[in-house]
Amino acid sequence: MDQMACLWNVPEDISLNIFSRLHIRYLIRCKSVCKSWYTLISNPYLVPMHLSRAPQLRDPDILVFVNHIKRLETDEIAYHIDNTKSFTIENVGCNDESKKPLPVLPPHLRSFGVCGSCNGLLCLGDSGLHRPVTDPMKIGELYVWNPFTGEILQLPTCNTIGIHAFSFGQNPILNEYMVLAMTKVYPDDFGDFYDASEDYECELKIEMCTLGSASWTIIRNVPFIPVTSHSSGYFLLDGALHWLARKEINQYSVGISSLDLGNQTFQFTPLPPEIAHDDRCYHFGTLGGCLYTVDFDRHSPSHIDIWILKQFGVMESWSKVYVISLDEENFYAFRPVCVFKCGEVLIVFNNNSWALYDPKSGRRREIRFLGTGDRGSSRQVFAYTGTLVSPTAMPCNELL
Amino acid sequence: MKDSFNPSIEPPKKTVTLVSSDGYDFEVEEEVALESQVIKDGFEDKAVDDREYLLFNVHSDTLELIIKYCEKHVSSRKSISAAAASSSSSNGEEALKEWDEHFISVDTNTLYDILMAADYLNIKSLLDLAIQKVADTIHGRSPEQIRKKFNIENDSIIDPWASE
Repeated sequence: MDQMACLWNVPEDISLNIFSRLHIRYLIRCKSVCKSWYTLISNPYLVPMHLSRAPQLRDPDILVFVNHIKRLETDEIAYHIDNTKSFTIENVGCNDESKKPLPVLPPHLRSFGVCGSCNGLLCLGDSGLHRPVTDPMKIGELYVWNPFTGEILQLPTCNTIGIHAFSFGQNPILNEYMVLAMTKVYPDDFGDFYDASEDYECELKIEMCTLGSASWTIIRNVPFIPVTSHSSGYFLLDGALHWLARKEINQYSVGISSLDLGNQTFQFTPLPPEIAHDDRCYHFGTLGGCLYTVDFDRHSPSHIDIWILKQFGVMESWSKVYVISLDEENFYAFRPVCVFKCGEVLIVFNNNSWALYDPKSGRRREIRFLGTGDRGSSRQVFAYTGTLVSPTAMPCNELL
Repeated sequence: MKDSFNPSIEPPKKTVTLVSSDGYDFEVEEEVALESQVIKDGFEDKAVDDREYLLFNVHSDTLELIIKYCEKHVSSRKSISAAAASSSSSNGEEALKEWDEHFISVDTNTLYDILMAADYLNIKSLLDLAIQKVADTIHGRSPEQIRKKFNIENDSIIDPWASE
């Protein structure tokens, strides 16, 4: 046997360089090649190397988290939820799609939904889905999971009553991962019953739990006027939390509210004036590292516009980046998922339709995946790049 | 530098001698040898008549390939910058990328030798090319296929759960 061909004889920095270029699925698989590869892949230096290189080398996978809902025959209001059919779709941007199973969660977590995803970690929690089973005001357990390394961390329970949303992300300055919990705090004279279609003003209480800490801390309360009839999420980007809200009561002054987690300053960026009126529909989120808003006519949509906020806090920096024409009669629940290196945008709509939109030609190519159309299941779809980041051993990020 | 536009008055090319581990001399142009950061570092301090490098870790078979790579990159860089200076369009970078891809499509043993030589001589672009090639070779293969491809003995204690 020619010993020269044994690749574990290359210097350690070269081995780590090679491993840092592998897709997480094959990187984990390489652990079982031999003992020395196992040791090398367990080297904590590899974690940040792989994390920074992975998004440069290839497009993200698409992670589809399936919550299959079955009503239990024995109990009229109880559901059985099962996410063991979750999967990733790899090579979407390369037009060579392949569907791969996602490693399965431990049994006691198979009824959990995803609260957020960041750097290969998923935050799992009691999604609204199976609230009927438990007290609607009670928040269950929260976990942070790396599906590929299998590591899982249970977070301390947040005791606040009435949390309506969680957000998971990273504070890049402190290099910490955190979960934020949002709770609406109503004024004292606010009645027990209110009309959800009416404008109302309240405060948003924001609490934070950093991975590795033993408790939740209150960041601050900020003024909050919800955008009624639009569901909007909370997104952590560049060290700030962002959400869709109104600036003033009884005015259609919709925009993005932001709370900087570092200096705790609160900011409001109005939506572009062209779209900030009553008969428009919005969706808001992050796309390619920027905040976006999707705008279309609620009654007769003929096209969808995606606006991107190029410079945070500057209303003038909104720019209409994509205009996607529609020919469907029924079109709803539109959301861009990610932009691939080739320029194509993956969009999901009508709950389970997927398409790649090519801005150069203006054409849309539908993509189909077998098994994604199960009835009685809800799906969460997001761009995902698997990493070695550990939810339990955060300090390894500081090694480089 | 202005003179380089007129080849007729260019001074004769200076050369450097590279000696492989098995004792063969390779005379190469100075700028080709300088692709290696190791040779470049301290090159000026060496006497002009003593520009001979004994490469104890590089076999002649490998050195021949390395020289071929460096010569190609030196000449491509020149034609790319010449095309840019005359603002004529060129697909030089695309062509070089294709050439690189073809160059590195070798058997695993040769790839290993190139990788080690590029590391030893510190030729960054070649090292990067070889490392990416190894990563591409691993991609999509099962542990058993990887062991076979890279001639690795199976001393693994882990269940090959991932052998889809």
